[in-house]
Parts: sequence; C-alpha cells; structure tokens
Amino acid sequence: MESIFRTIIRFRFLVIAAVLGVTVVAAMQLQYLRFESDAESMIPPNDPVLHYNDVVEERFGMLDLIIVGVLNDNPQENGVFNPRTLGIVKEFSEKIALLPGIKAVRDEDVTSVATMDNITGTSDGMAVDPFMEEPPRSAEALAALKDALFDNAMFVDWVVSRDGTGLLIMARMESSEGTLEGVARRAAIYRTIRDMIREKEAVGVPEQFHIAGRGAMEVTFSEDGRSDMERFLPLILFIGLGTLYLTYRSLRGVLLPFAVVIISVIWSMGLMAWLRVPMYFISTMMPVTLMAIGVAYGIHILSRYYDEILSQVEPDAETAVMAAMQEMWKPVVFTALTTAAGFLSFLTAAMVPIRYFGVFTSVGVLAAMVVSLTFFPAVLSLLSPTASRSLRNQMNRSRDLAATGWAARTLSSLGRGVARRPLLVWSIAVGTVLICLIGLQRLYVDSSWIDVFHKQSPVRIGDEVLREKFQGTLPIYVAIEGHEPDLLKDPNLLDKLDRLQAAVEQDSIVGGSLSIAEFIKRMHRVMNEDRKEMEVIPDSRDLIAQYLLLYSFSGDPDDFDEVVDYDYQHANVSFFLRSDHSADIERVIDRIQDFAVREFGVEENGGQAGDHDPLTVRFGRWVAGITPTVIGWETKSGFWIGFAGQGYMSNRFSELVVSGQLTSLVTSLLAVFLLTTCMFRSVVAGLINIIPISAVMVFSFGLMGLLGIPLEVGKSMTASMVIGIGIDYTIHFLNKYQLKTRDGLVNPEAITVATMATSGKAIFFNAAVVVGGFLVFLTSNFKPNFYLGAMMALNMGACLLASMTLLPAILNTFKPQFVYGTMPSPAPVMRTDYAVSPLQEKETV
Amino acid sequence: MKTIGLWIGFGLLVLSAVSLADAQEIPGEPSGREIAVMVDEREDGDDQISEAVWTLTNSRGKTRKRHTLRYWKDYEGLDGLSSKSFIYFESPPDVKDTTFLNWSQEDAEADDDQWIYLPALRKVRRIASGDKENSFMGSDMIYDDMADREVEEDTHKLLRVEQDNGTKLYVLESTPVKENYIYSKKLRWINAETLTEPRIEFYDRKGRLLKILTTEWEEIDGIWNWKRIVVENQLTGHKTELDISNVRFNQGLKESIFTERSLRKGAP
Repeated sequence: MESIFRTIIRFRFLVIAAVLGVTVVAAMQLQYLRFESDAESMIPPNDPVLHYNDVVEERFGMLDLIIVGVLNDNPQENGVFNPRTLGIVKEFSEKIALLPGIKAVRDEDVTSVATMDNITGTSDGMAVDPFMEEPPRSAEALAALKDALFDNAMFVDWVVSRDGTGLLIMARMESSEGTLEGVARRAAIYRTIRDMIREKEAVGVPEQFHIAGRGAMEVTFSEDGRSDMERFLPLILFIGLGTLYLTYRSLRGVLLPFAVVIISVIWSMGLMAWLRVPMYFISTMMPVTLMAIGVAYGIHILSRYYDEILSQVEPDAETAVMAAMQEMWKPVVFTALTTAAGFLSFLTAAMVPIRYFGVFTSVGVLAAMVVSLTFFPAVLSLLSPTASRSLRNQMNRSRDLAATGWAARTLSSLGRGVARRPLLVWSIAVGTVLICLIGLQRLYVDSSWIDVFHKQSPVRIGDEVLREKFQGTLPIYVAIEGHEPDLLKDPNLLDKLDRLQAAVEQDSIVGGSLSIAEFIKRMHRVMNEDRKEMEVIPDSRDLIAQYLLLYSFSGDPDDFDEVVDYDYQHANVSFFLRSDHSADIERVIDRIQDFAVREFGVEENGGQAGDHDPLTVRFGRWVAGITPTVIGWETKSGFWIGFAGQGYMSNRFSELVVSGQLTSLVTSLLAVFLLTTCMFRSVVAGLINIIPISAVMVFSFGLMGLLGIPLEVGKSMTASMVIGIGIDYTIHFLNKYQLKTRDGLVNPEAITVATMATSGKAIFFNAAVVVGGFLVFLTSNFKPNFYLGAMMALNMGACLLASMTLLPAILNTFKPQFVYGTMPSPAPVMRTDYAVSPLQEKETV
Repeated sequence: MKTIGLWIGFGLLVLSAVSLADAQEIPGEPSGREIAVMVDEREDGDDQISEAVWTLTNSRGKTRKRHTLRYWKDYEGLDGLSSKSFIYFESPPDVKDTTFLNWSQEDAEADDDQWIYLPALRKVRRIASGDKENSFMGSDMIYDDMADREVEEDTHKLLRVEQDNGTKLYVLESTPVKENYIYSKKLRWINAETLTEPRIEFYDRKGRLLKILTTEWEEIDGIWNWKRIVVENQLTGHKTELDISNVRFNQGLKESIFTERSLRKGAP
C-alpha cells in the first residue's frame, strides 16, 4: 500500500486533475436528472394486492377526487344555510366544473348541494328537482332546503355535515395518464382552487375553507419536497462546516472533507442522471445522507494526520500524510464497505425508489472512499503541515495526545473510567438491553398516509377537519365479482350487502358506505309514495331490474359505474373511513371479512395469502409477526370477493416496507458480520463488532415499544442505515485498539485511553457530524423524514456510546486473541513512524 | 344639421349592408338560420310507429341491449304540446312490459310530462323531471338531441359547403343562445337536397369534441327517417347504437294510446 500512496503523492497534480475531471463530466450529466413526483412510483411492480387495486379502480371507473369543504359554524347565520355560504358553494362548484382536467361536462358532474338533484317520492310518482337553482334568500326557503337535505340519509355526512355547519364540493379528476402535462394539469387544479379560496379570504368572508383529496396531497407532496431540499442543503452545510471548524480550527479541516463529500454526491447523482434513473421523493435524502457519512473518511485521516503533526517536532507534509494514509486506508476501506453493504441491503425492498436510494447511496459512499484515498492525500500533501497554535502549545506542555484538546482530554478520562469500572459498564449495558427487550415485545406496526404531512400542513388539517365533519376520506372497496351478468339483480345478495354495510358502519371510524343496495332501497321508497318503511330491498328480482332500468334513464350512462358495472355482474361496496391508521383499518377489514366469511362462505383450495410474495417480504413478515394482506377469495355464493381501496393499499404498503426493512436489517447485520470477520481475519472479531450494534438495535426499537411509538415506514428504514454507518465506529475503535497492542501496550486501561485519545476523538467528531446532519431532517415537512432524522440522530449517538463503552468493556474483559495475540504478548515492534510517539515513550518509561 | 343627418343615413346604410352580408355567410347560398329553419320544417309525418334495437356499449366493452316499440304523434303546438311518445319495452325479459310515456312541451323552458309503468310494481308513476340536458333513456343522447329543439335557441352560421360523392352538404355551426348550455357549439352536416343530417359534432363547454353522432337515413312514404344512429362519446368512450326498423308513418294513431291508462295495457 505504501507504494501506492507514494505514487499518488508523486503524481498528485495528475490525481487531482483526474478526480476534478471526472467530477466535471458527472456534473454535466446532472442536467438530465429528472424529478419523479408521482406517488404511483412507490408502488412495486407486480405486487398482486396493489395490482388488484388497479383492477378494481379501472373496472368501476374510479377517479381521484379533489374535495373542497366550506364551513360556517355561526349559529346566527344558521350554519351554512345562508345565502352567502350557499352562494360561495355554487360559485365554486360552477368554476371547478369548468377547470381543465376535471371530469365534468356539466355543473352536475361536480357534486355539491348547488348542483345535485333531489329525488323525492310524491303521491303519484317521483319528482327530480335541483336542491337549489340560486341560493334561497327567505328564511322559509333556507329551512326547506335544509329539511330536504337532511331528509335523505345519503346526503348527510356527504354533501352536508351532520351538524349543518359544513358543505362539501367533490370533483373527479381525469387521470394524469403518467404524462408530465397530466401531472401539471392536476397540480393546476389544486392551485386554482387554492387561489379561489385565497380570493375569498382576502375579502374577509367568515367561512373556513379546506381542500383535501388525492390532488391536494400530490401537489403538497411535491411542493413540500422541493422546499425540504432547498432548506436541507444549506443547513447541513452549516452544521457540517461548523462542527469541522470546531474540531480542527483550520480551513483545510473544514474544506477538504467537504470537498470529498461534494465530489461524491456529484459522482453518484451524475451516474443516476447518466443511467436516466429519476430522483424520487426518497432520493431527496441522498445528498444529506451522503454529506453526513462521507465526511467521516476525511475526519479520520485528518485526525491521524494532525496526531502525527503534533507528535513530530519538525513535521513534514509528506511524512505526515504517508503516516496517516498507511494507518487509515484499511479502516477507511473497511468502514466504506460496511456502510455500502448497509445501504445495498435496501435491494431487498419491494419499492423501486427505496432500492435506487440504497444503490446510489452506496455508490456515493464508495465514491467518497475513493476520493478520500486519492484526491484527499494528494491535496493534503501540498499543504504545509501545521496544526492550530493552541493545540501545539498544549502538546508541547504535556507531550501527551491524551491531554491535547478538550475532546481528547474528555474522551481519555471516559476511557479510563470505562477501563477501571468494567462492571458498571456491563451492568448498564445488559440492564438497558434487557429492559428494551421487553419493549421489543410491545412494538407494533402502524402507519398513516396523511400523517406523512406535517401537523401544520393545510392538506393534513383539511383532511382531518373534513373526515371529522363528514363521512371520511379514506376508501376501502369490497368488490363482488360475479361469474355471469345480472348477478346484482338478486334480492338476497343485495340484502346481504345492505346488512354488510350496516354491520361495518357499527365501527365508529367508518363514516359512511355506499353500494347499489342503497340506491335500490331509496328507489323503492320513492316509488312507494316516499313511505319510510319501504326503504328496504324489494324481494322481486324483476322489480330490481326495472328500478335499475329506470335508474339508467336518470343520468349519464356511466353514472353508476362506481357501484355496479354495466351488465350488473360486478358490484363495489365502498366504505369511507375517518382514520387512516393501519390499526384502525385492520379492525374494519376484520369486520368486513368476518361478515363475508360468515355470510358468503369460503371455497376451499383458495391458496394461502401472501404465497407469491418475494422471500424477502415473507421473511420480514415472519420476523415481525405480520399477517399477510389477502386480495380476496372465491365464496360459496357464486362470486369472488375482493378487497381494495386506498385504505387497503396503505396497509399493504406498510406490510411491504416494514417486512422488507426487517429483512434488510438481518441482511445487513449478516453482511457486516461477514465483512468484519474477513477484515480482522477472525470470527470472534466479527461477533465483537456486531454486539454493540445489535445492542443499539435492541435499544432503539425497544425504546419505541416502551414509549408506545409505532413502527412505520420512515422508522423501519433507519435500521440498516444505523448498522451500515454505526459499525464504522466499532471498526475504527477496534482497529486502533489492535494497533495499540501491536505497538506493545499490554495494560487494557492504557490501550483504552490511548485509543480514546486518538481514534476515539475522530469517532466522536465523526458521530457529531452524522448526528448533526440527520438532525437537519427534523425540519422536514414530512413526518417519516422527521422520524428518520430523530431515530438516526439518537441511534448514531447510541452507537458512539456503545463503541466507546461496551466495546472496550468487551475487549478489556475477554482479551480476545485476535487483538492481544497468543500470550505472552509479542515484544513491542518499533515502527519507524511511531519511533518518537510520545505515548509510547510514556508507556515504556 | 343636414349634413349630419346625411352622414347618419349613410352610416345606417353601411351598417345594414354589413349585417346583410353577415346574415348570408356564403353568397348564393341560404343563410345559416335559413337552413336551420328548413331542417326544422322538414316533413316528418303526423304520427309514426317504429321498432328500435338499442345497443349501449361502455368503454370496457360491456353492453346493454334493449328492444323497444315506439309510438309517436305530432301535436304541432296543440295544447302547448309539440309531440307525445309512447315507448314499450319488448326485452330484456326482466323489464318486458315496462312502458314510458312522454308529453313534450312546445315551450323550451317548460317541463315535459312523463309517466312510467313498472310491471313488477304494478303502478304507473309520474316522473316530474325537467332537465332537457339529461340523457335520453340512458343513451349518449340528451333529450335536446332528439329533436324538439327550437331554431331560436341557437344562432346558426353556415361555415362552408362540402361535396361528398356528389352530395352537397352544408356545414352549419349552431351556437346556443343560453349561457352555460351543455354544449358550447354543434357542427352539423346537412344534406342540401334532403335536409337530413348525416353527421353532428358536439363540443363541450371547455371546447373539447364531446360526441360524434352519425346517422343513416332512409326514405319511407316520401318522408326521410333515421335508419341507424351511432353516437360516440369522445371523452368517456361510451357508445350508443340505435337500429330502427318497421317504420310506418301516418297511421292515424289515436290519442288514447298516449294516456296513463294505456301504459298498463302494454303495446297497443
């Protein structure tokens, strides 16, 4: 290795030019980098559950909604039943119907009190009248409108809130068809409506407005994502540069590690652009993550370089660089490999964006390693070997690195403490792990789609308000798939669907439901002089067929698409949920499926759910004890029953992510064990390396269990990242500890103190940058990012602590052979670069 | 003063010349409005009996097929009515004997009177529904497309004259007078000789081509009538095919056919 670094230093200008050249080429590729904001990209291809959702949505012509809530809770104004509020709803409904990208030919195609017809039974037939043409002005007319709305159970909680203080406007958006124009058109819908609202707010109307629905989420998602990116980069630069400056008090100490990071970010993103891999939402974490990790190599090399300079009376640039590189190349390569392995374990994820995130972050890590081993020493050898004056003075006074600088002093005394009281360290560590193991039993998975957004995010507030006041915004679909046409004219089946709705609506989070049964019931009542007792499913099949015919006359040909398909072979029962927490969703799904099993039966040999999932998902599911999501089954009643909808999807989604990440946790732990075993050429070393990191894992997930914090997407992703990055600390520590014994130290306390004063210091600064970097995520607009940042910061801190306390305790207690060698310890080998090491002088004196 | 009066007179002359030119879009051809009036006044008989097979196909290729009998009588403004029609469902079997009666009002703003008889319910029900922009019997046509639309409800402009295999066609643009109408405009191809309309394009309020209606015509007893109508919704992919057969004109249909009482009895 020595010759390689000599060559690098000899041809340093060439090396610098080459690295900068590659960087320029990579930077030129960046113009092709594309941002993919479509949420669909997170859906893994070929997933049967998610694919089935597409089938259902396509079969029943389901389109994404954009929902506007207009609220007025002033009793003096009779809630929303006053001319102004109604006028606003009318104005908005009509304007929205005319927006490009809204599926509306007429105003009636937008659903609201201002556009809908009221169908009522009369003594001799039925009447179809608009609820209102113009907002009524007189008190009687307003009261009549209110009565008409509340008389029809279908409208309550839907277009009007139960308490009469809110009205909804719902519009269906045309599919973006995956084109950029389509996506832009949908975004424009949301922005136009937002402007309409702002205009009203500007003139001071007392109404409150909220926008919800998929369209609102999409736009907020991409707007917030962009603002995150714009805020993160300067923040992490500030934190990173600040920490480095505090560490080295020199310009090179700040700029060189950062140059490494910036180059590696450009390389990996340039490669992404060159391969035409788009930036996904999750990829926005990549630059920040790389910044937090990539500085580490520079820090460790610089640390050793400064130790060398301080140790020499007349330091020489090339000698100092050579000394640093000779000692550090191995741990740098090792730690880069383990970190890359940690991120590569994301390849087990089902989601394509997570896989790409893993792959290109590991590319970035390896790039940072290459640059740290070439460009870094090349530049460093050009600079004059000086350390800060205060450090040099301290060194001159004490002749001891352990007493030079506040960090070294603090860490040395920590090392001394750890070495002197191993029992204390052991009991704290074992105690913590045991307590957290209990917490691990209590850990549960729960994710929420809307909780991705920040609490103050208008789209989250809007969603919360609207699903509280109205029937709920999250749908679960139950698809009845007949094997021949006209199945849905069967009175018996319709009656069961009706009872299914009633049974499921018992659950308080189910705000409402909709099926063809409800329309038939309503029609039966209307056609029978509006008598309440006639609101049942009639028992004549022909009458149902005739009602359906009459219904088919009443609106557009595809009006009923969402509840029954064209030849009455398939039906869809929609349930609307007020909560999107997977625990709640699961409870509702259980209710639905219990009813279905009881009333419709299950045909045998239907196959086991989740059988076709990839091994990685099945393994993780087994570890976490998650029940697989069922698509549906063949019933004994002559049809297939299937389950879909956003609620169902989000459950499947968290099942895939969490189980995938658990697999990746196990994979990365295994990879790290194998890698460290090879590096230290000892299985015991591999084991010792993964003990502290495993303790941190138990601590982190156990703590979540103890605090009752559920596991979800963002948090589950931290596991393999922590392993990949945290293992660096134990590797560096172990490496130095080993070197110190090879240098002839035999006393565990002395070795510990010496390791702490040198590598310990570097590890400390390294962890400080990483923790600081991930703390930036706390400012994110997205909750998963926030949790990820908090978890990473906490876990990296825990890793730091574990590798400085638990690891030396293990080494000091067991004195493993791969470190201490076979007793008696070999005679001290004097190495040229350590010849005048003050530490050694002190120890041998 | 005199000169001013002269100038005004001259100005009026110029103005009327301009508006005259506007009325007659293509020299030597009747104006758009004139063509619309001619089409409206085309002979369509005093009454009519016909059979129809409806094939409705949605964008997923699923179909609904219905077989109906239709009785129609022209009222020409008598009792404020423009026409009455009686539709009887022959099939599918589960809706057989369902009948539907419509009294179409002359006044465009007034609601039509409609009754339906559902045999399984054994009741005649009156349906009070006014919206002429609603779908006609669940097809891709709305009530307004099915005739009865008054010439005055649109402004008409002759865009051009086309030749199709030796047939002279007027291309008429009809723009609704009423604001917020379901269509922003219609383009109508009109056979200059027979005054039949082989093709109509409907544009929605956002200016997109919404529907294309194509019609095959046949001459029966000197009256031109639909033989086959195909309407394709360009936005939803839904399609309506209407095949009309057994057309008989001027059968002297009695008024009693078009009453509530006859609904229960089924086809006369």
